[in-house]
Amino acid sequence: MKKLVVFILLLALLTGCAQPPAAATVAPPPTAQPTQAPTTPPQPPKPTLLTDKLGEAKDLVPTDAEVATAKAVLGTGKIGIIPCTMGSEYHSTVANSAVARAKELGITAEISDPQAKAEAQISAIENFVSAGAKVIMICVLDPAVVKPALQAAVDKGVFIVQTSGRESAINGIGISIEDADLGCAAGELAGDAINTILGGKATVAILDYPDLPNVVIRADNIEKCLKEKAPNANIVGRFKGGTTDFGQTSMENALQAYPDIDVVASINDAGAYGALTALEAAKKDQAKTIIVGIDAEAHARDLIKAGGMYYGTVDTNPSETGVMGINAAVKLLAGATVPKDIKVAVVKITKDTLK
Amino acid sequence: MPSQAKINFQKIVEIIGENGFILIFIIWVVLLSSTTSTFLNSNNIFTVLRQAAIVSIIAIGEMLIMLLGGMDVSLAAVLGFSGIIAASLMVNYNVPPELAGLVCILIGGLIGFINGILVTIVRINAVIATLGMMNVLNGMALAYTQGKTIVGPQLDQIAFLSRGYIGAIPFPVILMFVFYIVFYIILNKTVFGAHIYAIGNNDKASWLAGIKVDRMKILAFTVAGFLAGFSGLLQASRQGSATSSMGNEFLFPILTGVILGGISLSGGRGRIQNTLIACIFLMTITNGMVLLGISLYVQGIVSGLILIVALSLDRLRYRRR
Repeated sequence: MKKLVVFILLLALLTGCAQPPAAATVAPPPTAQPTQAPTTPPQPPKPTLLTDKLGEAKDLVPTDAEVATAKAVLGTGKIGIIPCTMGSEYHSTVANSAVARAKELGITAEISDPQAKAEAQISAIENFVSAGAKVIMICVLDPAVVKPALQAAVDKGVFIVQTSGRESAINGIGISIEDADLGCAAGELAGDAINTILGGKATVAILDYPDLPNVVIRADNIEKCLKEKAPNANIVGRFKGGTTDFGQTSMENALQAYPDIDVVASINDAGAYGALTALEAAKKDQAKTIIVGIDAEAHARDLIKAGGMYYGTVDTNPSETGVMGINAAVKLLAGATVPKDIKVAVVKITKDTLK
Repeated sequence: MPSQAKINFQKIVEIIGENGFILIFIIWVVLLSSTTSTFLNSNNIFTVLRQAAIVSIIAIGEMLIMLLGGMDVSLAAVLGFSGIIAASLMVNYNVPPELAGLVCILIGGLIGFINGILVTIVRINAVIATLGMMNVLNGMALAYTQGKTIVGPQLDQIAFLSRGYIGAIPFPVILMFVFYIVFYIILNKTVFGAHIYAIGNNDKASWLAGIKVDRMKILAFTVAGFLAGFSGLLQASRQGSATSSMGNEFLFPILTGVILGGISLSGGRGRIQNTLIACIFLMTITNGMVLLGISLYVQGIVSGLILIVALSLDRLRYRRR
């Protein structure tokens, strides 16, 4: 029996070794491969990055000639995609839509999941560089942590496309909604709802996630913009959210200390779902309780449409962000002239906008 | 001849050592009771107990394995994976909740059984084997969900499990106490329990005494898997949804609860009731910091310090031996 189990395990291990790496690989369709004998890829033309204006999605749409040049420069190389995590709908949608766009263009793109660990992003960057990536598209968890690894990649000629802020796009393009913009939009949504539904007065809890510096910026701006819109709102504190379980546990505890909480503004939708469960369990008045999230996940949209406590969310447009990331990579590889900073439009979602 | 003062001091140290973290728990409770008006009200107490329910149920499984001298770091991942399967069966395939729940628990048991085989027959170190299993399960959870939330009105059918009440008492709290009573009896009044402690103390001697050591270990891993599977069902019910990262937050509290509760890392020593108290203590730390209005940004420091002090006092008794 023991020998049999060991044999099966060895067989499984050998089979596993024969498999390609676990990263999600999208090879270009066979027809997209050049038919002539492999040659040394041409040196990439140097892109011109404009810093005098904030670009938009349309500025990144590549021409056919740029796609052809980019593919020639890329050769057998690839685009490495490092999301913040694949464990949330927003981030997985960004990464998956980027892969889909790459496939559409006949370019190889791979995802490496750092599971929301900034340190793991360093290894992911290094591995992609070793594996011949010529562009790294990254959602930076902590700019300070990944800076040396990104700089080392840039020194080897790799372009960076950042999809979470702009400060880490050392040799490339930053595509993002600033966390400050996102937080402010959520704060304004909550502030508007406080004014129209609650007459300007409310007891507010903010769901934060202090483990990640960029998310704290979101929470800071939720607070700032909410106070600007609804100065009479009383913000009782920040509580840990970020995941459904944290959001739920924090809100259950917060309701013990502050039973009057009638507004929750969350740094993402996942945490807001937990708050919703806790507020429903506390039998809060559906018509007089407001929850605002960020990310515009499908479930959040359904809740908003249903017309309960979930008042609104902020659309971060993850599908478009992924497409823009690959478009930006193509522009960089093709040596195009392109704005260095690209803004993704922030859209506030409420029941009215979903009609 | 030792002086009376020295004897008294030794007695105090002995009492503190024997009761370790429970003493800190009591001090924490007294502090919260005297500084907040809400801590001791029944609503808050039930909130804390409800929050402790899932962690403490899954901690029973971890405790069984640690009593045997092993450790299972995959239980949180089992919770997440089995919860996803249960939610998916109900939401995507309209499987009745009873059947989905059964499948969820059986999957947990099967994973536990595989862990047991890996540890006993393949002879992989328990931590390494379950670490591998944890990664496999997290990967499978991610691949299956594609990072999306599984949610639907079908999950309302299991809401009672974690959000329901019997009388004034939350159902998960009743479940928690039932599980602890049952496993208290199993560990303290049955041959199975005696064998667990015996193997943890000296597995070679136990084997020589005729105890089927490997079979007991496989059984313990399987039971832990069943409990983790059931906890996954509870968590899907609690959240009303399932995500690939659902189990991630559980590993630390499970291990902390069991270790804080005094289960020896080398096995064979520890009381199940202390595991329950430790799990409840962990929840009161989070709850208490919110009630005290401690900033989110320093809560980690405070909770860490409380745990260090509690563990330090608890270890006094081992130093004295």
